[in-house]
Order: sequence, then structure tokens, then C-alpha cells
Amino acid sequence: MLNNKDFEAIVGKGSVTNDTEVLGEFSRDHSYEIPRTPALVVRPENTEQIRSIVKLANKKNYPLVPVSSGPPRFRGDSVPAVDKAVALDLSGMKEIMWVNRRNRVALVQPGVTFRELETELESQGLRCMIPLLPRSTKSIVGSFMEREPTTMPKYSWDLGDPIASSEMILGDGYLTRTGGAAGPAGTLEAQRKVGGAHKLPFSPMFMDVKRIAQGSQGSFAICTWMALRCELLPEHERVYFAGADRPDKLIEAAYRFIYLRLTDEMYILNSLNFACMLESDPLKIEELRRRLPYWILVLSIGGYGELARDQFECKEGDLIDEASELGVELKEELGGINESEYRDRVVRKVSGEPYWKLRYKGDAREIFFLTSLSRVPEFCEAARSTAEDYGFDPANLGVYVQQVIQGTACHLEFDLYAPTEETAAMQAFYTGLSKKFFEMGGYYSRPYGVWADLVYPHAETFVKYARGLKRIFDPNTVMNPEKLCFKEM
Amino acid sequence: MSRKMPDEAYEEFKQVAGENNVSIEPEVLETYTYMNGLAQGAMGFHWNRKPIGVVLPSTLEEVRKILEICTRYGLKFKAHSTAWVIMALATSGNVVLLDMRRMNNLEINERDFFLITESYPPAGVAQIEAMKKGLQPHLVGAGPNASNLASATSMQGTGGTSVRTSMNERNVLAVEWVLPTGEVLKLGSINTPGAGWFCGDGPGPSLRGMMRGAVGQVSGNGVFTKVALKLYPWYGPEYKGGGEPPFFNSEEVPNSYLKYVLWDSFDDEAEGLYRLGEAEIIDYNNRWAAGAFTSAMTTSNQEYLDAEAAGKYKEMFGKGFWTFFMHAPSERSLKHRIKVFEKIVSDTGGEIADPMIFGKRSYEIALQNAVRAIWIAKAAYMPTSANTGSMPMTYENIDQCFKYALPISVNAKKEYANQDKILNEGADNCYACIDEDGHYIHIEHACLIDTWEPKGEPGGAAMVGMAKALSKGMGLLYMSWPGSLKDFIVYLQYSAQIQSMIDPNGIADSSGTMGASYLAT
Repeated sequence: MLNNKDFEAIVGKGSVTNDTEVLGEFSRDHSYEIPRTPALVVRPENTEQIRSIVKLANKKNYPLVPVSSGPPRFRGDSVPAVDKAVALDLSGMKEIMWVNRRNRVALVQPGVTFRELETELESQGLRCMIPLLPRSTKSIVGSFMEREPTTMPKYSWDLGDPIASSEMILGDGYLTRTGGAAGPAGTLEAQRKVGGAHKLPFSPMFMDVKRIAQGSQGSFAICTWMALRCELLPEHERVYFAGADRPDKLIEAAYRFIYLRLTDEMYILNSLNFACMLESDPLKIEELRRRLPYWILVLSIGGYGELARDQFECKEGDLIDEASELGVELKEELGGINESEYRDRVVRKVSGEPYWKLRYKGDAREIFFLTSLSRVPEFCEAARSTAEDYGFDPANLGVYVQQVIQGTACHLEFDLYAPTEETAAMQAFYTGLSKKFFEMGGYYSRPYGVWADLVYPHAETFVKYARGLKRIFDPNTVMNPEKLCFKEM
Repeated sequence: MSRKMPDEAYEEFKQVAGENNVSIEPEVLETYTYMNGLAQGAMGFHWNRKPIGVVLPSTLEEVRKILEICTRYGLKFKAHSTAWVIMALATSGNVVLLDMRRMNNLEINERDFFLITESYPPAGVAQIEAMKKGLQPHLVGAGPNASNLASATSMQGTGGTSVRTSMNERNVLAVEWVLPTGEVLKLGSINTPGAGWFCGDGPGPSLRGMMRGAVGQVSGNGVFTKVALKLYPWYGPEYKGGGEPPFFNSEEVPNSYLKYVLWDSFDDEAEGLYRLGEAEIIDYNNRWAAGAFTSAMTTSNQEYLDAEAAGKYKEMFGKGFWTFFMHAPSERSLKHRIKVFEKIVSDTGGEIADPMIFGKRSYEIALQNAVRAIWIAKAAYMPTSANTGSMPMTYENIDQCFKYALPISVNAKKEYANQDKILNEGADNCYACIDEDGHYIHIEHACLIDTWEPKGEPGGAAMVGMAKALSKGMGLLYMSWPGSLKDFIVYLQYSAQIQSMIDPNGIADSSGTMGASYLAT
């Protein structure tokens, strides 16, 4: 039986609540996950409290659901899958623990959002990798623990980026560190005294808990801070747009530009998603999208560091030459949106309110997976035809294409826009389209909700050993139970 | 204790791999018992355990069946591809070696910048194929002769191009891994039919985290039969050379720039490296000092001794020097890079030297290091046949390595050189390369030693350097000391649980890996 006092003894009375309204916020999201109300919401303020909570959970078998971002949430991973769960709300842990310009690194707690960090980094001439216009409440730690794609593919060396080091409390309550911070000095301060900067992205010896915990929806560990690799802030920067009715030529350009490591920001959007990001009113979104070509390649070049102006001009010259060779027209204005306006509102920015995916119809569902960039057209065609089969207007499909791992793969995202009252009726289409993509070879590397049921039956040995790891690191299955392939453990 | 292979097992291995692909002949087994490779010097091993048999599988299915036979007869196994470290040989008794040379397929996915390699193809072969398509794989310091799969799944994986091509822990995409149980574990996107090999993480958690950390287990956790690895741009044309080995005559690489650089102090050196890294202009970098350079420049021990006696290399490179190579996609880009490069080196008090400074040989060494990773291995093994490390820190940021760790190992090395326990080729013979535009750095502080020399003390300087660095709170060889002693033990306990999970019958020959050694203690 869950006892509030157990938690109050750790975090104080004011940080434990069973208020119905608050519990409701943690019981559902913009996904098809079955709503389930947690028994408590607990708000720890530091690592020691989290550790004590995890130890308590092990002792009394309390299921914990770590949540570090604020609403609106979309993927169902923070909706409890079991009754009597305790939502561990980490959004109050907001300390930016360290920013170091020389080593291009920043340490953040789980509650720190992209806007908060960017403000701090800009003052030191740095920038961090950031997902496409994240919501203002999005936790950096939450985002990167889930391997969220970021908008500068040339800096995406590995899907684990930009995490350098991290601190984790494992499911059994043990506190461990990953990456360079896992070194021998006892504290971060002691490591810094001998020049350490927690920059190494890989862990000592033969295993890496960071990799195991990443993408696990909190099934193995709770990250209490993360060291992020940062890059230099451009002194000179320009965004370019290239439009087309079909994606093929833009795909060729994206392949070429990543090969040349020319661009900073680079992704492909369809007109609907572009308009949703730039306008907040549905009518204006409609107006803007009508002025736009259906497919838009967005890219930026930057001059930073030594001889920044010279670097910028050099990249600009190479970019224009290459674009000309490819027959791609680069523009600084598209549909009335100027590049500087785009930079001000999108590049390294978080979404205004409402969150851009909720602006067009009031609600949205996401389907995303990894594939080869060259296969984007066939998936788009499948989306269109499947939408028609299910009576869903393809005009309400947003598309976002993001190269990852320096162009080795791409994140392909379809945003299904609908009014809230129609989302239930849309579920069959959502499920059908998800299945269609899977059958075509779309790789749900982050298999939320129904995607887990598609992916894991084909990965029997993987599931066996993932579950084995869960038993090692979370022997009492207190960490976000019943998610992914960890059902009925 | 080594035993004889049971006759029944021998017959079954022949049925699986074919009669000509199994051997228990003493003469053959002898050749799988010695290796002049890494760790020989550090550990002082000359001869390793003799395997009880060698099997050469050619397919995934054959590998699975071989492991099943091993399980049935209580035999251990160790997979061995191009073999660089001595642990790639049998490190305990009763071991069947899997020589992976027949699994040598290689496929280039030009479109999505990756290759798929079976266990054997050496990185240099992959490079030749990739260059034809304007791409290049990462090449480790061990050289083009090393299997990229082995480096990526089972060893370490840094090299001079790491500044542009990362290191192999981070180059891994999808993986096909035969566990000691014989099960085939797939990592990443190949778990979804028809998806492809472009990703090694997930679905959900990434089991790459139990495959390796900073280092792998040298086959102590199974047999890796196929892996996809990232490819990086090569702005062409493909490398071409002629002439006589070992120096050859390379054709010039268009739009490239190759120089040696010297700094007077570790502080200036660190400053220069930080700035060069974040400028994102370097495509190859390698630090050497006079000892390694002399090794590279000479072709025999006598030639080495003569060159050392002449002293000119020591005079020039005694404090260490860097080779930098830039290879740009356009003339415009190259011009900018050179401007930035020269400014940074000048600002930080560095001196730029022409690679022809000691004639064609010194140019070829620089170029072939940069493009083919040819010379590091030679420098490490000539003239004394063994390289050991005095390595207080193999990874972290530039400041820690140069301002804190390296001075410790220089002093440790001096102590040993003064007692003639290692070759006195100069206290500072540090190899280093910045990785990923300077986000971290790898260093190895080499000591040359002849392990057959009675006075020689292999590994001594390394251990002293490591111990002193550890006492000051810095990492150890290949990040092998996580946290406090208590943390270290817990860490090993987790590792042991993973090992027990994937190898419940204990048939993997894991005793040669560091983790297993620690477990034994």
C-alpha cells in the first residue's frame, strides 16, 4: 500500500501531492496510451532525494515513472502503465551546473529546458544541439535520454549525442556515472582540479550504462545530470530555403551538403509543418502554406571561431556553387518569410504557445521512425495512399525529415493533425499507418506505444537480452514498469 | 591446462567447416601461439597459450555450429580476425581458435555513408573500396592491416583521422553478434525486416552498451560476424602510390595541405590544439616525438642507432611534433583553412615545418600516415620490436592530457630510462590525436623496449605512470578505472552479471580481457 509519508520523509510534505488535478496532468497525453492516473506525484530536488526514493521503491515495490518535461506530452512514455505508480516529477531540478567555454561543455539537471540553456550558452559564445522547435517545457535531459534528433546533422556523430557524461541512478538504487565523469576522482570538482571536463562520450571498460539507458523510456535508470557537448555560436549566420513540388531534388541536395559538411541547420519540411512553426493561427497557417512549395529544404551556414567572416564567405561561396551544380535554387525568402525572421523564430529557439503541433487543428499525433533518406518519397507516398484508404485528408499530414548520424540515416516524422474530438476516430488510421511503415522497413528505434507491438515480435533475441539487462539493473522492476519489451516481467 | 581436442569434436568441426578448414596439427597451432603485437611489450608475454585447434568458419551458421560443438564438448573458443593484440590468441587452456579470415565480405553503401563488413576485411581494403566512391572508413592507429570489425566491436579504435572520422566505439551502426550460447543477437535497425543497417541503437534501449565501453572484450563475449560502420567524406581522387616499400612514392592529393608543427611548451600546444579543433579544419593529426620519427625513418636497427647517434631528429623533434593534414572539398575551402591554420599556429607560438624537411622519406611518412595510417604501427615496433605505454590517461580533454597527465608520465619514463629498463629515446615520446574536432583527445606515451632484454622491465614505467595519475584523480589505461575502489568493484559485478547472462556455460575465452582479469582478482 502506497504511503505518502514514506515520500514526505524524503522530499518534504510540500513536494508530495495526490491532488486530483495534478495527478490528472500525469495520467494522459497526446498519444493513444491508455490513461492511467498515478497515485502520487513526488517532486525531488536533488540527487540524494532521488536515490532515496529509488531505494524506497525497491523496498516497498513502488513503481516509479520519471518525468522531466512539462506538458503537452506526446508519446505515452510518461503515462503510467501500471496502477499505483508514483510520478517522479524532475522538472523542478533546474540548475545549470557548469558551463565551460574552453571545453565546449555544459552540465544540466533534468528540469533545465532548451531556452534556459541557450540563454546561458549564448552569453559564452556557445550553442547546443537542439531538436526542431521543441516545446518550451521540454527537458534537455528527457530529450536526449530518448535520442531525440537534432537539427544540425553534421554534429550528430552518433545517435547518443550530444551527451558527453552523465550521472544515473540505476533501478536498484546504485548511483553511477558514465563517460569521462566516470573517472576515478570522487567528485566533479575533484575531476576539474586535474583538468577534467566530463567530455568523453563513452564509458570505462566493457559496458556503457548511458547507451543501455538511452531510449529506454526510463526503464533502467534516472538521469540526474547530463554533460552536453556544445559548439561555437556563429558570429555570421544565414538561413536558406529551397522549395520543390517533389522531394527528390532536395534529398539529393541534403545528401550532397552533409557530405561536404557545409551546413549547420539542415532538414526538410512539408509546407504544412513549415507553416505551423511560423504561424499560430489556423487561418494564417493555411494562408502561408498556400504561398509555399510543398517541399522545403531549410539549411543554414555559419561563420564562427577563427576568421569567422572569412569562413562564412567561404561556405557561402561553396554552397552557391554546389546548389547551382545540383540545379537547386537557394532563396533567402520563402512565402513571405525572410531568412532573418526564420532565424529569430526557429533556429535555436523553442516554440511559442501554443506548441506548434497543436496550432493547426488543436491536437496531433506523431508517427516517426528511422530510414534511409533516399526512401523518404516511398514512405510519403504510402502515407498519402493509406490516409486516403482510411478517409483521412492527406492535406492534414505534416512531414519532417531530419538526417541523423551525419547523414547515415534519417528521422522521418509524420504529424497527423486533427481536432481533439476527432483523434479517437483517427486511431485506426494511426495504427494502420504505423503498421504500413513497419512492413515497409521503417525502423521504430524508439518504439512508443503500439510501435513496440510491431517491433519486438521480430526481435526475439534482442528482447531476451534487454529483459536480462533489466533484471540486472532494475531487479525489482520499479523503473517505469511495463513499457517497451518489459511487459509482464 | 591445455588438452587435446576430442576426436569426436574434431570430426564435427570438419563436418561444419570442411576438412581443410580445421587443424590440430602442432606446427599449425604453433603459429597461433605467438604474436609480436600490442600488449606483448606491456605484459612481457612472448608466447601465449597454445590452442587445441583452429577452425576457419565461412558463414554465420558455421560460427553458430562451432560454438554449439564447443558447448557440447566443454571447449572454450576465441575468435581471431586480423589479430593485433596478444589477447586475440588463446589466453586460457582448452581453447578452439576461430580464424575468421574466410568471412571477408565487404559491402559499401555509398548512398548512406556506411559499409557492412564481415569479421576479416582489413581497414585498408575497406578504404580502397570506399575511396573509389569518394568515401573513407575510420582507420585505427594499428594501421590498414587491422580488421575494422574487430576494432569496432572488440577492441578500442582511435587513429589519426579520428579528428574527422571519430573513433570506432562511435562508428558502430547495426551489429550481428553470435553470443557464446550460439544465439544471434542483432543490434539496431536490422531487427526490423527490410530496414537496413544504418543504426545500431535500439529498438528502445541500446544493447551496444553491453557490447563494449571504451574498449571491447577481444572476443571474450562472443563472435561478431558482421557490423555496419560509418563512412566519411574523401574528396578524392583515390590514393595512388608506386615504388618500393616501405616508403613508396605517393601521388599528390589535390586540395590538400600537409605540414609538421612544433610547439615549445605543453601549454602552447594545448592552446593550439583547442583552437585548431574548434576551427573544424583538420582531417588528420598525429603527435610523435624523435623516437617514433626515427623509427619511421629507418629500416633496420642499425640504421636507427646511426640516426639516433647523428642526433638531428632529436634536435628537431625532441619536444614532440605534430603532423596535420587538411583535405578540402574546394580550392576556396582549402585557402580558408590554410589561413586559419597558419594564424592559429602563429598565435600560439608554433613553428610550421615542411614535411620534406628530412627529404622524401619524411614527406612520405607524413602523407601515408595521414591517408593510409601506415606508419604508426611501424614506429611503435621498430627497432626494438615492442611498444609499451606509459599511459596515465588515454582519453579526456586536451588540458588534462597535456597539463596534468603527460608531465606525470614523462617523469615516470625518465626514471625507467635512467635505469636502462627501457630504451632512452627521449622522455617525451607521446603519441596523441585529437578526436572529433577536438572534443576529446587520445594519448599514448610510448616506451620502446626489447622484452627479450634481461634488464628490460616491460610495463614498469606504464604502471608507475598509471598509479601516479590515479593517485591524482585521473583516469587510467583505456578508462579502466571507474570511480572509487568501491565503485570499481560494483562496476565489475555488473559486468560479471552481463557476462554470466550471455555466456552461461562459460565457454568464451574471456580471461585475456582486462575485465576478466579483474574479475579473477
